[in-house]
Amino acid sequence: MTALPVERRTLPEQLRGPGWLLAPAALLYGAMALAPLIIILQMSFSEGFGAYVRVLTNPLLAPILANTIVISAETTVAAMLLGYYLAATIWRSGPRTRMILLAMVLLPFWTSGLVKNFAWAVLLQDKGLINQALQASGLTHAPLTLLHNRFAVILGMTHYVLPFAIFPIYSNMLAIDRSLERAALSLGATAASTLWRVTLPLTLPGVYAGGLITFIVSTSFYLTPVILGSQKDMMIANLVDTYTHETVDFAGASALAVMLMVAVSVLFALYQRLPKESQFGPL
Amino acid sequence: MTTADQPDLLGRTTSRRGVVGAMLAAPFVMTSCAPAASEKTIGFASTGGAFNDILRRVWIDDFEKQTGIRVNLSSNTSLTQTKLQAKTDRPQWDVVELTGPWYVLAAQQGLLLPLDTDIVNVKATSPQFVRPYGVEYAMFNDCIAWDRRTVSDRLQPTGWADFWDTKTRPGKRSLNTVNGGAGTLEMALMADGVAPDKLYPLDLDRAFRSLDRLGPGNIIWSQSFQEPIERLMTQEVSLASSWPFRVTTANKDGANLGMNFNQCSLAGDWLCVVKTSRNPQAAFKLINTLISNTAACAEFSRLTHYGTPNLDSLKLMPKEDADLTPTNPALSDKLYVPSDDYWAQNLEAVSTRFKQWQLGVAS
Repeated sequence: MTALPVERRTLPEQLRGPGWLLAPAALLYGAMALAPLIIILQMSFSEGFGAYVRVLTNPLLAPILANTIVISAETTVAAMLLGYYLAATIWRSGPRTRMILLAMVLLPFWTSGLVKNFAWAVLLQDKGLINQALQASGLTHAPLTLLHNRFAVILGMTHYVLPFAIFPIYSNMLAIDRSLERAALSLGATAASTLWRVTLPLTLPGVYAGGLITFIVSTSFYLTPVILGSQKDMMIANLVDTYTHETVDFAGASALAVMLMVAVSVLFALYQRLPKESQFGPL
Repeated sequence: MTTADQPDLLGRTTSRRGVVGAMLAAPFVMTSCAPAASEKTIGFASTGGAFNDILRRVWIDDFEKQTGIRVNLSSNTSLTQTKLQAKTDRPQWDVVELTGPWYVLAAQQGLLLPLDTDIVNVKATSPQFVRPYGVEYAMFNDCIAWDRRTVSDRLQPTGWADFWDTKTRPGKRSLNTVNGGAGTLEMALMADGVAPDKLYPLDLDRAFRSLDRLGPGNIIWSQSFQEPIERLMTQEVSLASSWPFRVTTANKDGANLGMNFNQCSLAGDWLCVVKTSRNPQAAFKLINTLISNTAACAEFSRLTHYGTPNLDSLKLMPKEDADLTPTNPALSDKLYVPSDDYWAQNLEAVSTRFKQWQLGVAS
């Protein structure tokens, strides 16, 4: 019996490889991300399971958790519908239009969340641009309440997460072999059934990935419910803030943060198991 | 090896190993990276902004000159930070400014040093401003504010019942979630006819019924001190709970806002020393300066319309400024003093119920 030859490299050899170059990043990540996480984990258990019991029996947890799931789901649906349409438009555009459209997606992505939220607040207020335009055009006679409600929260969040929806779908579309569509059309399929039976199934991995990452990002929103919503739209991160700044219960805040992190990690594990995109459909 | 300990441009000596060690340790002991607290430097955490500039101008520059103690003035004081400071043995903050309920909680949780009355001359103040762990200063009141373009002088509100009356004065109301919305429940009770001296313990059922009557849809929650003013000026709301200093400042900048002090609260900030302070004597010396220099207290109140515990200072002020300073005895029949002890004891339970109401779920 002969074993397959296994390449074994000594440690110095391995260190010479490119893996060693990751050390500074690993060190930085360890100090900047892992260490705070460990501290939070420690703080959450500073009273045994006491803080977890306190958070789980807080009557605010259920309604705020429901808010978080509902708002994130609504945002995901809105972002996926818009994102798919936009990704397809970018995909089918010529190089110049494609560049302009991509820039329009990326510029807000690079803008600070605070700026985006305040910009929406200015636009949506009773005397804001949108209401002024609606009233000037005679469509409405009194200002519509566009700010400090669920609508404004979903709008602001959708705007924020849109790139997370667009890019997985768009990169999936780029991988598609366009000759499959031409084959479908040449065999007599209509444009609609080509979209429904060929293009859409091929882009499903991108849709799953975009949808899940959009949902994950949405669950941890803090700023948008504060600026564009009302107290009625509180989400989990706002409850963490209440524990930190109002009741000054660090253990409770940490316990809640750990629970949110575990829930998101489960979703992220799911994300890793999604079918991967390929030229001829999901792998 | 000699390269390790080269003095840098500022003459400080750093070893390479020390730098790496400090980088690794930074997230754990952030505060120890601060300039080493010498005997002659103390930290004072206040609210920040223009308020800090005034503190420096009125008291701190002179204090530094007279005592040789340098004061690091910082912003955004909070109970959260105070608790973190009291957990390290080299806090950056020595003197902290705490709201009333924060003071009670900080004292309960053992975050503060007892007031050193050998250094702090409490005789310069009225006794109601002194407690075992601190002295109250920077007294301020809230007010009912409106834009004169929206609410005519004939209809100007004189109390919370008027504020709640959306038939006579249509439009939305701005209430505050600053400090967890403390004050709102008191307003709701007074709107329902409870006398300001009969508020505590709060009748929560009655308060929430009163808020139901105003209606969640008529309330816009403001989260900062400036938002109510902006909401009045953009006419997003017709009435707001606000603060006089914000109103007079806006009016100086061209706004036309009215305000009324009736049934409004008189609160103040407490000057305290963090338990782990390495310079408690210098810290108490600073507190003493902030309350005992009568002329400086008068100047502070003239500039801010905040009260000081040094009531003699009112006599040194122009009348129009003294009239707006909440410690003025002439205002005592208008303003009520919230119970910090009630709030410290009940904060968590009441705040939870308040949020349930805001979320629209039955408690």
